[in-house]
Amino acid sequence: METGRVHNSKVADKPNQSAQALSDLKEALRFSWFWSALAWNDILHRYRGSMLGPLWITLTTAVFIAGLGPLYARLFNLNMTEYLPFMALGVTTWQFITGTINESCGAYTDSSHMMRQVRLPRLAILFRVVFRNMIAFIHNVPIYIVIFIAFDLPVGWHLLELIPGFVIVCLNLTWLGLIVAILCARFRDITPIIISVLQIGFFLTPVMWNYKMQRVDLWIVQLNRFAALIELIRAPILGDEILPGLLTMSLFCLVVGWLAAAALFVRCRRQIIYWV
Amino acid sequence: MRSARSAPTVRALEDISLNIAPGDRLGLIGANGAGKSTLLRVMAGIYEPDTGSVAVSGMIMPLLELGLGFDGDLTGWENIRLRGMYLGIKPTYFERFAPDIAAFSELGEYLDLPVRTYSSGMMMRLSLGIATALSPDILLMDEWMMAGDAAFMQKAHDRLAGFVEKTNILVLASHSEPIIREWCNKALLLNAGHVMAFGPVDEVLGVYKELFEGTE
Repeated sequence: METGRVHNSKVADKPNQSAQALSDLKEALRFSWFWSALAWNDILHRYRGSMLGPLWITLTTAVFIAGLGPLYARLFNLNMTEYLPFMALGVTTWQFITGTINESCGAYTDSSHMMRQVRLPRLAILFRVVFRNMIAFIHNVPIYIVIFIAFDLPVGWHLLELIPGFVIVCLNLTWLGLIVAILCARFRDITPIIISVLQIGFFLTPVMWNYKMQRVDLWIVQLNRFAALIELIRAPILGDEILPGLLTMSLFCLVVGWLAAAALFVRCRRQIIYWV
Repeated sequence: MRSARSAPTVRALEDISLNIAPGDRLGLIGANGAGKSTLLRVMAGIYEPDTGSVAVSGMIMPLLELGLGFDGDLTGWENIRLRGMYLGIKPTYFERFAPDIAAFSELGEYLDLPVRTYSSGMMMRLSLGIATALSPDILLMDEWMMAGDAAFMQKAHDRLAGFVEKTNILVLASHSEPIIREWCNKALLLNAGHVMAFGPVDEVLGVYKELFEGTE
């Protein structure tokens, strides 16, 4: 039978944790159909029984933007045509980032019942959470299209910069999610801490405001990793230059973050099952 | 605040060394907490040993807890697909088994209803139907599969028997002597995480009785 998770494993006497972690990654990648199907399932399941289904993801965000956009434009005394697209992209990207991190908190604890029934690659469980949030993020595309038409934003090749930007953001979120998922499985107090930090982060990060529009010192923005992630998606769409500092920061975080996450994963992978 | 380091370390299994060959039907016996379920999970690759190695070749099907892995809000059909995915089988491939599972579980139109509306008997039928639809090389079972309401059990028994026959290796954890005698040709007696006896069923059950009577 060609299906099924066939084990042909031989573990050394003192198991090499790095090798085990690597085979976990390989297996998770081989079973991409598994976590992607589960992620789709999650999205459909969340809106089970509702008439509009996953369209609610789009609608709630649209209502938020349409409601708060004009208000903040007035509060900040800004030009609507300039502010609203900026804010819409900021809010949607921020939701993607925080959604992924918040849900990563429960990645392992929420699948504990399955982890204790069958052998599952640990990374596949995380990929499911990240992919689920990617799907939710893509539900914002209609909003972007409406904004493009309504505010007559320029369409051109610069939009293609969105692709590497999105990839860098997703890869950054994956290592962040992995660290968060492992730590939250081990220490249950971390989940509420992360949620409250991200709530404050919404105001500290240039989601609704901009250092140019509000004359905030640039270094405050430059220090904020989330600002870098948001800019990677927002700047190409609005036709802005990505600040070199933010780009360097996000690439630097990508490397350092993955090294840290890999070290943590190698160290803890085997124990996750006992914590959940 | 509770310090994480103060948690006691439990050594669930120690010094286990055994080789299970095709054709073996191994019964794991021992008192509650002896390590039967833990050993099944080690074999399934769910727990990894601190030291030592587990070498497995073939597709493993662990059937450890009943009802777990069902999502109450999903319908029977959706749960069939979901359970298959967790076992490593693509939904398209699993569709082929779906009619067989539906026929065996006798759930009919209930399969279109959310599983939370099922009785425990219905859930068990569905669980058993899914589990036995596949033909794994190695089957790891906790004894729940052998217990159930009498009406369905006869049918379940026949299906299980055919199913067990198809697999190369069966490992069954139970503390019921009749179940071990019926299904197994070898037995392993565990006590506090140690192997007390391993060999033919009669021999091992003899040791088990001695041990049991000794503590009484």
